[in-house]
Amino acid sequence: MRSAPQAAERRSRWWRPAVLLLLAAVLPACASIPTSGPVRADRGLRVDREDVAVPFIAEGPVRGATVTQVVQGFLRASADFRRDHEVARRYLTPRARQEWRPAAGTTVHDSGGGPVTVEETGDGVVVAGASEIAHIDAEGSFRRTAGSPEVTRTFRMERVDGQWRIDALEDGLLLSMLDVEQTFRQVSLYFLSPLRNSLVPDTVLVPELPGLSTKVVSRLLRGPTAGLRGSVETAFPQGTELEVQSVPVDAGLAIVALDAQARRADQLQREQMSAQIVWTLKQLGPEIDRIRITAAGEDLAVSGVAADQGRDSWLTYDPDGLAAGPSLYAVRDGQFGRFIEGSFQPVDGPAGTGAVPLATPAVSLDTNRVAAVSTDGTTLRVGRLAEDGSLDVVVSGGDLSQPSWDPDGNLWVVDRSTGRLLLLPGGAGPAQTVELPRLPGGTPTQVSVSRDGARIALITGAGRSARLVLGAVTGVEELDADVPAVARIAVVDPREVLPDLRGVQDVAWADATTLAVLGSRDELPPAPFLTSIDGFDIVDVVPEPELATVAAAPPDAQASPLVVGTTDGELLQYTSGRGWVSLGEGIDPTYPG
Amino acid sequence: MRRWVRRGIAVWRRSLQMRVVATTTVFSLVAIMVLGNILITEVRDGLLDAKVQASLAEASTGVRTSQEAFDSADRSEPGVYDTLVPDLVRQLTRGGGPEGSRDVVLLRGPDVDTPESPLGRSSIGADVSAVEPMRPQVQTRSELLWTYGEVSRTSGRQVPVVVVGAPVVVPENGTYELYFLFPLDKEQETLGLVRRALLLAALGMVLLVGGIAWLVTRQVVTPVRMAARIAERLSAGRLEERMRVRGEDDLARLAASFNRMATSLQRQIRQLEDLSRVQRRFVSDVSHELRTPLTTVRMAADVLHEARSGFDPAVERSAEILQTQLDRFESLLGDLLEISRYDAGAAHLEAEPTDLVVTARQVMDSVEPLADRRGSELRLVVPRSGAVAEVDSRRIERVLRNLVVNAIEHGEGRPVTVLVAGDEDAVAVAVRDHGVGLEPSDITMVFNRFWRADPARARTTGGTGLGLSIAMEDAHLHGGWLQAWGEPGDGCQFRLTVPRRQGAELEGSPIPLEPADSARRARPVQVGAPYRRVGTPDGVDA
Repeated sequence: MRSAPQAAERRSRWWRPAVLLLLAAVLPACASIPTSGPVRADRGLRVDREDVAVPFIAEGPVRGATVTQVVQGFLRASADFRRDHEVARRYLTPRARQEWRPAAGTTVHDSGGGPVTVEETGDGVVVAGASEIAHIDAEGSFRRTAGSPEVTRTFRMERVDGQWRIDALEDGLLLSMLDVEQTFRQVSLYFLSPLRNSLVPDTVLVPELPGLSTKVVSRLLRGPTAGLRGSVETAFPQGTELEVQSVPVDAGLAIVALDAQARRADQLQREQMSAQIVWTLKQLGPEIDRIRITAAGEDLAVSGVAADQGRDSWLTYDPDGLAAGPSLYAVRDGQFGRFIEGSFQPVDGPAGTGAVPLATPAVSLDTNRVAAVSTDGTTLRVGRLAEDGSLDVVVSGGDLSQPSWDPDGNLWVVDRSTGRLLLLPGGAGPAQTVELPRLPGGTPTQVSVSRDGARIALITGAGRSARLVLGAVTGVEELDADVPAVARIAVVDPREVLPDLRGVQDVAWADATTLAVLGSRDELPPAPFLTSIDGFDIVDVVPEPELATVAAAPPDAQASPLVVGTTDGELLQYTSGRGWVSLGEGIDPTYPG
Repeated sequence: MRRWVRRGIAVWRRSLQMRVVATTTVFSLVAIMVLGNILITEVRDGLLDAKVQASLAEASTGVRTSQEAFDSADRSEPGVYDTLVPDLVRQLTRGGGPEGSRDVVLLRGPDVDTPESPLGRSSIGADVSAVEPMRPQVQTRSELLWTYGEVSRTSGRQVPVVVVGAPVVVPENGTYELYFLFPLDKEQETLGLVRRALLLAALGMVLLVGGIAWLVTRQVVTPVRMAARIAERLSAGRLEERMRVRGEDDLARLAASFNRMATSLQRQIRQLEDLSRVQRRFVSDVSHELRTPLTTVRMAADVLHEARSGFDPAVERSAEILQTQLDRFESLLGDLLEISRYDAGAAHLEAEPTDLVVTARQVMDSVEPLADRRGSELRLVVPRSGAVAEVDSRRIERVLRNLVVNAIEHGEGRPVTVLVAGDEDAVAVAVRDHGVGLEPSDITMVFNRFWRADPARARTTGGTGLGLSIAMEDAHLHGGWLQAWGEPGDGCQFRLTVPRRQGAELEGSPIPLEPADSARRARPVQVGAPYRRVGTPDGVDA
């Protein structure tokens, strides 16, 4: 018989390995992924940030303000664009706050920051009056208004909690030119010329607030403004948008995150998209050094270009299409030549010999060809600028203006005798007539095509009533000298850049958004000045009497390429430090294009 | 079930091999489990560390990106944050990786109370509950914070996550809380894979170790088992059995020693057997050789005895003594011959159904004269039904006579009782006297050859000293028992028990060994069946 203690001992011996086994089986369960734990800090990142300055911060309504004070406060606060005019909306009743759409357009008046006439016409209605000098439409396109008409805004007032508030008002803003200059910034949105080989700027005004990078890119994606629609192309596939409505700029790198639509673009499109974005963003300032474009989270692969594209990428798409430091061409003693380091050198070939008397010449953008009109204005000759070149008559008869080359090598000229705009595809005949809408001021007398080929500046009328008209060119596609497809080409959206400008003598493209004009504004004597193509930005130049012609090219560090010819046959170049400097004898100065 | 457990325990206790295999398996299992646990913990820590670092890096980028996105948002645009925030959360959720690699939660901070604030919704993104424990800290500290948590997927599955949170400032709105939830399901999967692989490896390892232990112990246990088997056969008398000796290792030495021991044992047993045979042969031969001269001596003595009346008294006395001693010599020689027949295995049992009561009566009748001489009264107690058994009546009669004569001789004139009884299986005859009795130490000796209770006592009576030995041999020949009980001063009782049918096994005796009239109960002594495995059942004698 076993004794009880022995049995107990055996049992305990039995359990020992079993307990160990159980322990070993349970232990691995502890080594699983945790689902809770203490909160720990990672010292690697501190969330620091500095807020960016805002140009104008308005104040809300004060208690007990009168109806006119409320309206005046509202008009002042309208210049504060933060959070969709949040401050201005404080002057409104809750209903009006919901209904008012400030983005509908901006009426610009000339009160120069001074008070608009604000009068209470009784019965809770306040009328504000001012004379309109310009209008900014919902797309941000600035247009000068002719004649400075009086405009009024009617405000119906209502009391909310004992305070006067605006209950009904017209959509849009009423701002003085001074406010507009302070709070808006003119930016160019870059689109593609119809042949997609260069960029065309579309100038718009945007409120100058933090997030401008986001603003311009989203505006770029939205497409061109009404004036250029049909004249330019965009490389972005239909429906491309920003994936996140923000284009952050960090340490010189701007990140443009496009949505998946952008992936549909082929290589060429991607290249063109990149050019559009880079050119549009780099105008905002040197703080944007590199640009990264992503599509649905992945870098948008563009062959031959790093993921971070530098500011100087895509210079081939330069809308001005000119080599740096272009030469000034002019006619001296019947000889056609150019200025090299300040001295006149006749060009190679027949044009430089003076054998054929020339006037109002034009040099093609690639500086290979010249087009000029005979001194009597009856024949147009085109020739290569080379030793063995010849000057061939391409148009004869009529009263021809100075010709103008477009970037595709087509030649534009106006026949003043018939008032027709002629186009010579490829710079050779036969001339075809370009369809023109009804132009302000009558038929054209002068033409100048922008170097991007998308815009055309025309002078209509003659003498003291001559006006400057700017239009867009449509229908320029695969234009070939052999195929007369010119029927499609037309000038659309003609408008006066400066409605008050008269007696325009000459016009030339300084750069893609700037015109050099010789004319008289506000009944003053004719003077040269530079104006942006929307007339928003005007730079006056010291006037000089007896000027006849003007030539301009994009400004660069070395020279300011603004040259005028006097009626005495002298050429003057404008330098910002010393005013006008004589270049010597010569007439009809011109830069390529 | 219990049976299986019991059988398992029995096997465990019986089999050394199984014990070794089981112990080795269990301990290697424990060792592997502990090691595996350490390994898995290491793997997990490595996986988690890498994931947390990657998550922190990603979240840090994400927070900076969001902050920049908010700072760069076009603030003049109406409702800019309404579209920016969901777009941003979507962009962050995608995070440049595969879909679902992380969740993003943007929560309005406590200082943002403008109801028309663009982030009117309290949460954008996934399951918010996992970030709740972090919120108070994220609201007060402007650094990247992280912890572990758990989110439930739309499938209802709980997924462990790393939660990283930081505040972001939304211009002109206030501070918001941005949380990233990085799922750890990949890590969990990897860990599961590692664990499964380890488990499989451990299982294989344990099986392997068990197998190895089984093989190794088999090498040791097989010879041991063989030795046990051989030893059993040896003990069963098959002295020629030997172990196989293979090789020169310890087990081979053990087998060799075992075999040497077996050989030595066998030799000694043979020697003893031979010696015993020689002795018995000698006794038998001597008896036979003595018989012929004794017959001659007997005839001469008979002549002398016939003629004794003519001798002088001294010679007559001598002739009578000669006659008496010759009688004794003859009976001694007869007994010796009988004994040697037993020793030679020449005794044959001629069994036939016999009523032991009749046999007992015949014996009592024949010893009546002796009893009268001694003054002992003879009593016979018999069952009414008789006691028939298959016995050799001649031998049984000899046994009974021997017992009764012994009882009368040692009975000191007191009555001698013969008790016959039977039951279903056995018949017994007990002879009780009330003489000097026996010392308990003598009880085992009474059946020895030539043993005397009192060596000093002269052998006056006719006993040869071989009677009880022969009786014992007779009892054995019947498959029966012959047992003695004695107490000094209380007399003796001898009991013969035989089975009713020859060849049947005796289970007990119908008569208790200690007589009912004994002065006190004495310890019963078993001497009747020294070669029997089955002991006398306690219940019969007690």
